[in-house]
Amino acid sequence: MAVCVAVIAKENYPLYIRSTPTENELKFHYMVHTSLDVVDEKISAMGKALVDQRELYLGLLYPTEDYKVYGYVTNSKVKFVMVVDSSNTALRDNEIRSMFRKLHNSYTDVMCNPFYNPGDRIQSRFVCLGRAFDNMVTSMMIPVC
Amino acid sequence: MADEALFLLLHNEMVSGVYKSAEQGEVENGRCITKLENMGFRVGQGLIERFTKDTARFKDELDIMKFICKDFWTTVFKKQIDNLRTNHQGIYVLQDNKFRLLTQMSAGKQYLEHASKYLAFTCGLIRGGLSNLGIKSIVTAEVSSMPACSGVHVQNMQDCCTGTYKAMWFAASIPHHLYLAFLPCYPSQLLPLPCPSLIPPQQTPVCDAPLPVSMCSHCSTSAYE
Repeated sequence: MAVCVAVIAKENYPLYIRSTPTENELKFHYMVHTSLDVVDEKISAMGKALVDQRELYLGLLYPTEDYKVYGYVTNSKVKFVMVVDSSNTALRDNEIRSMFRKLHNSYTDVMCNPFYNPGDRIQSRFVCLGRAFDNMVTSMMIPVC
Repeated sequence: MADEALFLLLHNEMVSGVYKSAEQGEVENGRCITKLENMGFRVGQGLIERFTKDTARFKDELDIMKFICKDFWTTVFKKQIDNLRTNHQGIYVLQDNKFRLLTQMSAGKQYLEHASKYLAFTCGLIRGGLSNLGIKSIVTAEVSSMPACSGVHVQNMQDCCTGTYKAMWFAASIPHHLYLAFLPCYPSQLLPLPCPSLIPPQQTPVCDAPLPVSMCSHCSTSAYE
């Protein structure tokens, strides 16, 4: 499962970022930040690509020694970045894809919530606004013992 | 279908609610169009997020406009846009020959002056949707129905006979900005642009390329001046 999940707005500022509390949080922020360049690169290359390659899921952005970073960009240019432990070899591409779909569904629900201002951070302190989103992300993260 | 009727009724109540509060002085008179437009903007943002969830990435601006005309319109108004025209420089004209929100009152010319009220929300809907997809736009609406408009297009004349209101959407762009205009075609009843502040004066969109629309003597220049 994921160790860090981030939602980045179309203007490239974080809307939501969450990592497993046991790890060094700053390191993940840094990884997500650097991955945005790869996302941009992939999108601009995709503009010229064929129809079947114009998928929202971007696939593996880059691997590091301990982690793999995956990306997903919605049509409204909101980016989802997920950092996964590379020792977890059981995690297939299809599963990552379905996790992103779940994340996208939850984000859409937040976006359609009349109490959410588009462009604001997604915070879980408001019941029914960020709470559902937060719970969904929690289900995607590594269960902390 | 029931949900269609619900949307129509809700929309009608929304318009009359906003105008009633204007009469009571809660909303500044004349701000009603803007208020309705802003409501539509937020709804459009949410809707487009949901509708584009399962579609492939858009290739370009035209691809987005086609999506608005087909999928978006079908979902909201249960029919497609009848005609989409563009000058390939960022001006788009969307034409709906049987616009759902106006069909109930389009038997004659009686309510023509009220038509603009019922278009503001939709203007916002398009603008919000486009802005969420990364296109800054201006959307204005135009309604044409009366015989005075004859000679504009063939479909237009047919409409004159049946007396149904038509809605047209216009779009113009300066580099990197798209201006969608949705202009009322009857001469003296041009809708105010939803947010004029978006157009810096020196960048006021000029319709220099020959548009099919310019055949219509009422709408070719007035909105872009």
